[in-house]
Amino acid sequence: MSQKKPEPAYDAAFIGTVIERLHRYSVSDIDARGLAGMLGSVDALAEAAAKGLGFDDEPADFLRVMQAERGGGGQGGDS
Amino acid sequence: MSRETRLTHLSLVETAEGIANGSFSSEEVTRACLERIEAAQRHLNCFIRLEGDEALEVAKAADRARAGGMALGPLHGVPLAHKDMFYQTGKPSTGGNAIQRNFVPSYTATVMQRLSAAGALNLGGLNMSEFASGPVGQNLHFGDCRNPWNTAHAPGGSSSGSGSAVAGRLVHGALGSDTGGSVRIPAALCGLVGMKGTQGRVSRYGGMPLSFSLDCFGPLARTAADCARLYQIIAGADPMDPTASQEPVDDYEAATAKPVKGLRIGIDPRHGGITPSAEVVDAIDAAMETYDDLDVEIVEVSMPDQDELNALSNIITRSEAATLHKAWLRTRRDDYSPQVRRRIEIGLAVPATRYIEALSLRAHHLQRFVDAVFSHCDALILPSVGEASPTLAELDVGDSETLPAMLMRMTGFTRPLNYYGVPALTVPAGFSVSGLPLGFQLVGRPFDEARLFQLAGAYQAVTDHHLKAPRIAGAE
Repeated sequence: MSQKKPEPAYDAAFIGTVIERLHRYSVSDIDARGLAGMLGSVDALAEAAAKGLGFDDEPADFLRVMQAERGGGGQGGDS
Repeated sequence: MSRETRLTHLSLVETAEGIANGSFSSEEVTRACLERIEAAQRHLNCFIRLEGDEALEVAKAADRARAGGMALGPLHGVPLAHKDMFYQTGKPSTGGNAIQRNFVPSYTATVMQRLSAAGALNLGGLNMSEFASGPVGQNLHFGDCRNPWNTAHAPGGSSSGSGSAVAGRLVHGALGSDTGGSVRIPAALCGLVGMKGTQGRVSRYGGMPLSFSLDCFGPLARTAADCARLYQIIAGADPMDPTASQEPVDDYEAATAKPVKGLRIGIDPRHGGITPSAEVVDAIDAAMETYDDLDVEIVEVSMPDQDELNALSNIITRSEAATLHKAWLRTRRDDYSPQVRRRIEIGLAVPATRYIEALSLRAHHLQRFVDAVFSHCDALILPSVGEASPTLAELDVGDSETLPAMLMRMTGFTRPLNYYGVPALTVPAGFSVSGLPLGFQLVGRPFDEARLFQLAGAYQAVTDHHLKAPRIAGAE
């Protein structure tokens, strides 16, 4: 039994439709193809990364980690 | 070497000291810079706008102030120039693009106010990639900027003019902006020190935005001490930018002279899964030997792979840039170069959930990076760019299918660090067999810029890569 190949997340028609309907202008087919090609691989990696996200994670957590892990400010070597 | 050339080749710190102690005047230094700019501009195209007459008047006023016994700032009378995206009331700021060619802002960037308050002169607006988007230094609207070490080669971008002008000894320092490597790439390819600080360490008020979550403004200079002095002046809290950090600012310049014995530098032999050229590997090996001689402990670490981080960083940059540019993409589409339009427009098709996922994952990835690296060492060493500067022709891929590969080639080592939000300092590491500069990055914990300046200062005290200057036809 052959497995059905998944549809790509982005193709030219989808990109063209998104820009036309959501952003209210149009791009050429060539531009839509180029955008789809570029976004596809980035999105696939981002989708894989998103599996690590927890229910209550939010962007501001970043600031908390920045503060918690801040360095000592160049106190010098031991000599 | 003529007296004028000697003046242009002094470091920023030496220049400030020379003006302050009367060894030479600000007017002399400024005239020397303007003469060199006049000779070099047709080769390098690093200025979009030169404000020579105005700078000379400010220089004369600086000399009068010194003669009158007034208190002098740490950059009193020192000629600088900056990427043409830092606003000043009443002065054009093109952002390297056609749409803002005649834009005159009605307010001044905090970084420009602080440099001016420190006594610096501004010789004009420097060339840059269109809308600060592009790691090469090409610009369809104002002409390509060129590398002073070989004008067929890329200076790196997007702060291309900043890299070219400071390395070419046209000015003593410059500001750039860094969203995915735009300070560190030109610094590495032109042989300079360049700082992308901790996210929020420097106010973004009054600078042209690309991605408000990732944009960092920072200096490019010839020495660690020069870079530290500039960074110290622009860093710190700013009531005009609520995202600027309230953390106290360390004494970065003092850090460049501190001993480094006993500090630990980490190296990942896999460099996060990206393979640099043999020349870059050799340059980093040599730097590690130098640090070993300085009694810095070298430890092996394993950093997370960079591919996923590059993707997450791209999701954020493209989404935020598309939001900023949407109105112009709709109404002034043809005023963008095809490559820049492609890179920004892509964000219009990213779902809001994907964008917020990328932002929400930042904490996880930063924690993982800190645990993997900084539990073992004080700073990480990493290539800035995986090779010496390619030719402009080689990187001229437009909006073709090879664009993503070219972007990864130029920004693979830099972009993930913007996502982490950690400080990274590019340091000159020697030269390729073809005579082009190589660089490495020192990467630290959040707000640990002083440690990076400390390590860079110690390295430059026993190496001379940063003292070598390119020869520019008609300017020597």
